[in-house]
Amino acid sequence: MNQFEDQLRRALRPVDPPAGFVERTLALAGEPQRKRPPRRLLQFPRYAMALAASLALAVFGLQYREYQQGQQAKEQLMTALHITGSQLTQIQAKVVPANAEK
Amino acid sequence: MSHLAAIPATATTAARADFEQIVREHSAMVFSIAWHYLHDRALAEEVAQDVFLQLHRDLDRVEDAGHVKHWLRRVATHRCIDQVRARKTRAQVALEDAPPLAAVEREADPLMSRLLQRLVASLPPQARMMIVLRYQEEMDPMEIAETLGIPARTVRTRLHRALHLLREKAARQQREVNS
Repeated sequence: MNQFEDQLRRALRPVDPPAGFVERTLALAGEPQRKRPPRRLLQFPRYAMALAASLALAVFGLQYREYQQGQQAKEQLMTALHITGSQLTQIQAKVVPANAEK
Repeated sequence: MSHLAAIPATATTAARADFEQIVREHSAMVFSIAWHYLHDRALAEEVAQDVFLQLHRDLDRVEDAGHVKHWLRRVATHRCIDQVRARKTRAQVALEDAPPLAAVEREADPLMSRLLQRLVASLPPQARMMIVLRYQEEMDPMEIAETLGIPARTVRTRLHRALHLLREKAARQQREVNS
């Protein structure tokens, strides 16, 4: 056995698991129907889902605002057209009898 | 309250007692394989727990104490390799977070041990596992080959190469420190 391999053996000596490991493992073994979720696999999707939901809300909010502005513009245009139409009708009502008198 | 009370009634009392005994006896071995391979304390605990939970499900198939140790080593080894493959990550070397040594004796050269742990963590996954099994578990190349499901000759060759690489890197780093 050479010295380097002895050093390697010392470096790779067994280590104790964190405190309470045995108790936690036994407790988990007692819950067969509740499958433990893989901790790290779920962390990323949770954050990703929250981020995606925030982005979707922001996009939806912007689109709804644009839709509302469009609706307002449409209503204003319709009102303007309506007023213009009424005024044209009034003018026509005045012009047509005047021409008829001539 | 005993944790055994939580284990389902389908398991016999003897089996439950056996399981607790097995976890207590082999937790350091299983956790150490995962820790030396993954260098991530939380992940190592997660892998070690999964190994014992799988044993709990397959307890009926375990023949004797010798088989348990062999079974645990094999499953821990494959779980660790699967973890690294699934995440395609290299080992995280956070050695400041290193757990306490199980052995009572103090290290002769803690700096050298940390350097070697770091160098082992930098090895390719299969070679890293071979080194862990060889020097943590004192397994011979034939046992390692059986555990990993590869020819013994391949294990000998890769172990030899890995050792050579580790020696060279360690010597280079020591020269850099001394210069």
